[in-house]
Amino acid sequence: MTRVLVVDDDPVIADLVSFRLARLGLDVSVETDGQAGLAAARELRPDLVVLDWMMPRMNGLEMCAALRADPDEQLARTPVLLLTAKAQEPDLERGFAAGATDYIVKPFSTRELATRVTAALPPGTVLA
Amino acid sequence: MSTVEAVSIAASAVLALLVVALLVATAVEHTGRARRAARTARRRAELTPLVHALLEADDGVDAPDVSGSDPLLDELVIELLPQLRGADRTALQAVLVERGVVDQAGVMLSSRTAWRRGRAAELLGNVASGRHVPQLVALLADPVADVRSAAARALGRTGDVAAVAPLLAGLAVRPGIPPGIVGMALLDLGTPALPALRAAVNGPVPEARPLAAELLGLHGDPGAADLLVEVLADVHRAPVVRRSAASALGRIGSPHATATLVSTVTTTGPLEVQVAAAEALGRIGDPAGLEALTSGLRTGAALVRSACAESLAAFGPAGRARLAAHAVLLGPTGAAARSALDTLDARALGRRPAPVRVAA
Amino acid sequence: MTGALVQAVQAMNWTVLGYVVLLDAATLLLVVSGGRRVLANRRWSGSEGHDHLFASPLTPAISVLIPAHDEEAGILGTLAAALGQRYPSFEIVLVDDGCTDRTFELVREAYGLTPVTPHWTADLPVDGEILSVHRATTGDPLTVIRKATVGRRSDASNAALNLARHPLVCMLDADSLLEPEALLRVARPFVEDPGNVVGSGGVIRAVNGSLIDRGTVLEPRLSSRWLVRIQAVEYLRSFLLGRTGWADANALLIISGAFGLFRRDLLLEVGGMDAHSLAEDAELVVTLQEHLRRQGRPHRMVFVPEPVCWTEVPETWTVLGRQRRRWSHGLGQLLWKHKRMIGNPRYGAIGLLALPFFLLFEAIGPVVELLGLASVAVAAGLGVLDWGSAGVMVGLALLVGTLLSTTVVAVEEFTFHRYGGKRSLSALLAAGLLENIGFRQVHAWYRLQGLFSAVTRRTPVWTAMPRTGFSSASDDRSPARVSAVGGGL
Repeated sequence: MTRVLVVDDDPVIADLVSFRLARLGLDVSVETDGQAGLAAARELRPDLVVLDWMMPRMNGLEMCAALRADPDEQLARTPVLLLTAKAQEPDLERGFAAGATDYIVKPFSTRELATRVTAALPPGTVLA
Repeated sequence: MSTVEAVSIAASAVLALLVVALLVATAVEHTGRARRAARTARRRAELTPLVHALLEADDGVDAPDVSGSDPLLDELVIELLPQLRGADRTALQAVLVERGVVDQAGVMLSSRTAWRRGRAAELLGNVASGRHVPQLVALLADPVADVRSAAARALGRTGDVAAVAPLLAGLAVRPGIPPGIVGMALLDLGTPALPALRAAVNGPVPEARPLAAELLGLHGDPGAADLLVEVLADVHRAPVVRRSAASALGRIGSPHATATLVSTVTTTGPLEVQVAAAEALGRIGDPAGLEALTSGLRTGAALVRSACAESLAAFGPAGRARLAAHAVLLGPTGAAARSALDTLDARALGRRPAPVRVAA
Repeated sequence: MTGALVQAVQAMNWTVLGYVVLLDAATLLLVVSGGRRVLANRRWSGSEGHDHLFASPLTPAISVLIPAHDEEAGILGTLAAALGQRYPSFEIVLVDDGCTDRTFELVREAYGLTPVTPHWTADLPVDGEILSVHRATTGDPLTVIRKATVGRRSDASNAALNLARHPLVCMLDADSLLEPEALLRVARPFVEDPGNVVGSGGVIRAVNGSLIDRGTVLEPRLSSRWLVRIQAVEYLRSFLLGRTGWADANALLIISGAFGLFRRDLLLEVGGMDAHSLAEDAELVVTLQEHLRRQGRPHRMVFVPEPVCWTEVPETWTVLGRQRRRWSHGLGQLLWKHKRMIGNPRYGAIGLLALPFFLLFEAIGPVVELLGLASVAVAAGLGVLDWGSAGVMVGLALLVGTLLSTTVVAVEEFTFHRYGGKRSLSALLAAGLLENIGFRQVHAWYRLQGLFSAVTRRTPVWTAMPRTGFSSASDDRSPARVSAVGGGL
């Protein structure tokens, strides 16, 4: 089953996003900060990560950069969607420079999120 | 026992009573809060699936009936609303309307307590209630500053263009609305506000002119470019408006502005205007600006010099070459050039791709 | 003869008592008015438009200045908290002021520092030589200045000010952890009233004993040390409430050096930080007020009554003594430097209310309190002490002090209740009580010493406070590592 990791310190958003993605037929895990998220990513090997930027302990950018620098090639190539309220131009540049695959600005639309997630998953991924 | 002593003892007794009363009140609050928090958490957990179901309503699934639900539902929806947009937002807005929350807020707008008015305005903004625009406009003249700001923010989110004029007018009256708040509200209104903004650049409200110019830039409105070029070229205009016009032209990015920007940088004039023009040339990236920036680097005042150096850095290889040529010079020009080059290098270092690792 | 002596001593005792009661009553009034303001402010929670500020490209950018001297224990946490701020546009300028420990190495490693040619935006006089300037290559907006130390924090602050680029400047201590929305909260007054606001400050809390990880205060907790607990109550009182009361009277006097936000152009106008002041934060505020009020320009200072910053407080009497002496010394310097403002209606509420209050109670207070103690001791020694009467006096003084502390803790419980853990409420209440028995008196002695130094014009030296570092989440049970850093006086 296709696995998605959602990392966001706001439980309301994390709940909503995982609900929406679960309806797509994905298997969703949730973590609330970058450090835990990184550990979970290494353990679970998700097919895609939805990542908040501003989080305690380790923020989303740091986690994304750490993922990209991971010696495991497959993990380093995991698609990462940044979902963040940081919307200024330099923020976008930094997000993509850290290796994000896509950048979604809050306020967001769950429908759009679902579309982008589907698009970012490897083609041919089977959704339940 | 003297009178002073007697008074002291009496006072002590009173104080002791007060202390005990406070202790009791505090203890009650402490235990009460813990219990309330646990209860709220439970109710939240029960209501969250309902909220999610409400968001699904547009997918052809019938919306669940929420008219009789727990009032905490309103709070959950209100909490989620500003974080969403599109169909999700519309669905949640409909829920609030259906549950009468919007009507209630409309009534609260005339409350005697300031914070109630403010929160009502905030809610109506989140709900984008077009019905309440006249009342919100009236609140722009509220005696309490925080209420005025909340009303302005709400008007921005309602999307009603009728709000533009009162918002701009709010800049000039006393007590008024701060430019930062007005600006953000106007940005929220989006493209429908553009015609009014263009008119305001040369309009009757002097305080609105620089803000309108800046907002046109933030919108990235190409239709305003000619207008802004005129403002910039007119040396009799106030420097603050010309500065905003210059920086707006940079954000819009149209090369038609290059000629005027070049002449602004190379002619002596208010420092802030020259600096803004130099920055704009860097953003636009039209090679016709290179010459002016280079001469500004050499001969401009300190602030202009550094702005020109940073703009040259944004030009890519052509600008970089010129910076390198000047970096060897002693004196402030060399320093400015070297500083800009170092910033470029620092950024480049950060973007170096990770070395390819051989799989074990 | 003895009769006259007894009467004199009695009169002295009652005067001192009257003084203490008056002081506490005045503080109580401020605390109550502040508490009401805080409670009223809480109603607005959620409708202040912080999200809007965050999303707006018009929000003024902030330069955060951090002077640091031997701060290896906490610098990475401070930087992580500062760089993780939820704010649209900001930069951090850190000054390595002749650090003899690994402060610079740690930062360089964490942020990939590379040397750059500086682009100075001002030229305030700086005595210590600037050795090099570095920029982070991780994409974080961090610049680090390395300079030689001259033993004065203000020198480092001014060096940072020379490099700051943004219209608003925030002074931050190197051991202070900012809450994620701190900048947003203290910047808000500048957006809501740009024509009048020149400075704003935020509440500081004691962080000792809290659970921290990489600059984030995961759970605020009260330390188990009574000295720290008493200081926590002190901070609650003076920062959370006393200042709210002052700001209402438009007489905000001290924005602590731990966290204050100012307009950069005005700071440059007054010549940056005073090179010789030991209480440079308070000094800055008073200088700004004097400068602006004298010219009839807007001078509004705002206090944001929400917790925004966590800082380490001294854990031992020795370090506490150093700190309090320094503060008193600085206060004395300040009052002397600005003596023309005291009682001067031209300077509004600051001249008529705040400064006289500080003179009467904060500066002269310790003298009076200790005189009272001394006279009681003398009377007891001479055998002329009326124990009943003395008991009544002490009882009254204690009760007023206790009422004050209990009110403070009560307001905290009703509003923010930030300190977690089961025992924190009772601990705070007990600490409030204990403060009046012993701490207050010793504190008065420290303040007296500081005052003495100010009067005799001793040269002040900036010494590093020994940092215990922030206890990390993984070190939950073990006490925080003590880093062996310390200057000597």
